[in-house]
This record gives sequence, structure tokens and C-alpha cells, in this order.
Amino acid sequence: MTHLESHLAQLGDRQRAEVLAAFGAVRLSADPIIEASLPGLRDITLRRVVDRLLAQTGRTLVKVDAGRWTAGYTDEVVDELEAEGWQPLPEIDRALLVAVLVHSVAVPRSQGRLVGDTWMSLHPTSLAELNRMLIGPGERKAALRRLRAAGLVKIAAKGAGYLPGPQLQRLTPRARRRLEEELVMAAAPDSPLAAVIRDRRAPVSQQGDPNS
Amino acid sequence: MSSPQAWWAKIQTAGPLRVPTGDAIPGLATAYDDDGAFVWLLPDYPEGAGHATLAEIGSAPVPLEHPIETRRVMAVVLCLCWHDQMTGPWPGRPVERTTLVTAFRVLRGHGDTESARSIVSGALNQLQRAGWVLLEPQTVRLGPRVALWTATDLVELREICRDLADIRAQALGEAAL
Repeated sequence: MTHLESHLAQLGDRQRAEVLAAFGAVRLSADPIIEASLPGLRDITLRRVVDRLLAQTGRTLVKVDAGRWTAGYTDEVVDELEAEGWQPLPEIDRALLVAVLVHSVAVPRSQGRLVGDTWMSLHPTSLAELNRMLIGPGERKAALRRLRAAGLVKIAAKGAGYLPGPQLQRLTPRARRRLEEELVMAAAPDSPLAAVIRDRRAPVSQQGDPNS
Repeated sequence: MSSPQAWWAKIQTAGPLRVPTGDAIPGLATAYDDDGAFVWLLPDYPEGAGHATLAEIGSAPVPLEHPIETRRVMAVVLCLCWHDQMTGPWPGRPVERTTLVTAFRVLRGHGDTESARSIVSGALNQLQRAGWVLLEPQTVRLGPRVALWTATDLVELREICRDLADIRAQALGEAAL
């Protein structure tokens, strides 16, 4: 019996199957799952059990939009991994991912061409843009292959470049906000908005200190 | 020391992790490495929480690149490394990369060696990231995830290896020449 089985002990056979189907689907599916398609998501009581199972594995249900669900890492687990310095992506992969997020999401959003706090986009980052980065062609190709395999980027239609991948939909509301703040601080570190973000993140004792 | 939830996140983002045997984490499955001093930490999901539902609701996981060739390479690795099919496949035996390329070429009906080497290399990199194989410069062996295959899975996998028995013999024979 797996460790997770103990959280299913109170359920009948049918409910157990419905919970496990929903648990597997939100974990494995590249795209969010329509709530109406699975009883384990449709029924609020079963959905809570799904969320409890996910919590055991460091994840939580994330509502992507009205009626669609996926699973993402909890903010607590993200804080813990960040404090440990855990980073599974090589530096080159992160640089390319950031470039795609800037050109496909941050820039269109700042121009009003993309609304909301989503990190999905229909505005491709061109290959020419990625080729301008100081990364050798072999390393760039390998890194983009890894990012595609991880679902963090995807190829845009007609080979027009790259778009953020489906895994970006797994971000919790706080993770989406933090990612946006990081990009603001990276792209415009001297802007008033970056100053507000730094001030908000500083320890209480340093807030408002012009020398901090 | 990380929480169990953080360990889950680590093995889900980076694949199976190898730690000293004394550091095994409650709630995670383990696969002892052949020297017994280390253990691989693996996710341990209940039966029924796998991919079966995705097909039923018309959903799909992040796609593999070159899925047919990648599955073929995995089949060849399995059949070359699983030396005693009366037991489970883990940890199995390492196989020379050249032997693997030979077997893969035979499976495809021969063809260009350079192209086969390139396909095998790309497939192995994908399989390694998911923990299905472990790569050394000259050799390949099965990854710790195979330790989680159930008895039902193994029945089907033995069947695949029986179908590939001639290819296995041919590749190992050619490599021995």
C-alpha cells in the first residue's frame, strides 16, 4: 500500500476510482482539465480529497479559469525549495525561458495586447530574438529541446518562434504575481514599480529606508 | 532537512534522486542501487492514478519528441539490460551504447548507422530526464523507475522482450565479434 492510499481509506470503491482519476489527470495532463469531465473535480467533496492527496505530494489544485483545473506546487513548498537553493533547470534554460516570457507575455501585456495575469500567450518570441542572445547555437538548441520536453515552452504555429508552454498554467496566483514582479525588477530595475516591489519585499525594519 | 512534500516536488521536477540509504524519506518509494549503499527516491502513486483517464477525456500529457522511436529505444534498452526475466528488471545490467545502436538498427530493418546513433542519443536523453534509463559515457542501464513496474506490467513487458529476442541475440552476437 502506498503512503497516499491511507488518505483514500474512507472512500467506497467508486469514489476512490473517481478521486484517483482526477488526481492523475490534473497531475499528468499538459493542459487543464474541464471540471465537468470528471466526477472527482465536479463534486466539491471529492475535489477536496483530490486536493488533500495533492498536498501530500507538495501540490495543490489550481483553478485556471471558470471550470478548468490543474495542479501546481504549493506556495509553502516553493518557499522551502527556494530557501534550499533548489533549482532543477540549468542557467541557459532559465535564460531562454525568461526571454520567451518577456517577449511573449510581459511586452504584450505592457502594450495592452494581453490582459489578466495569465502566462499563456499567442504572441510568439521569434527565433531571431532568441538567436540574439549570447548562447551558442548547439547549447541553445539543446536547452530549447529540454524546455519543450518539460512543457515550459512550445513551438508556435507555422514555426513562428516559441510560446510559453502549458506548464505555466500550473502557477498559483501568488507564483504568477511573483513571476511578474521578478520580470519587472529584471527589465526595469530603476522604475518606480520596481522600487515599490523591493520595498514590499524588504524586511519590515528596512521598509521606506531610502538607503536600503 | 526538507519536508516530505518538498522531496516529492524535487523528484517530480528533477526525476528520481539518489541518496545514501539511511536518508530514505517516508512516503516515497525506493529502489536500492546494486551496491546497497544508495537508494533512489521515487514517486509512489496508487494504482488508478495513471495515464488511463487522460485518453478517456481526450487529454494528453506533454508530448514526447519522436514518440515512436523513443519507445522503440526504451524497448531495446529493456530487452538488452533485463538479463534475468524470472526476476524484475531493476537494476539489470549495463549495455554498451554501440550494442544498443546495433539492436536499434536491426529493429528498424538496418539503415544508416549515423542516423540510428543520432536517434538513439536523442531518445536516451529524453528517457534519462524521466528516470527510465541511466547514462554513462560508454554504457546505458535501466533507470530506477523500472523498479516500480507492477507484476501486471511485467507480464506485458516479458512479451515484448520475447518478440525482440532475435534482435537481442543478433546485437549481442555482433557486439561480441
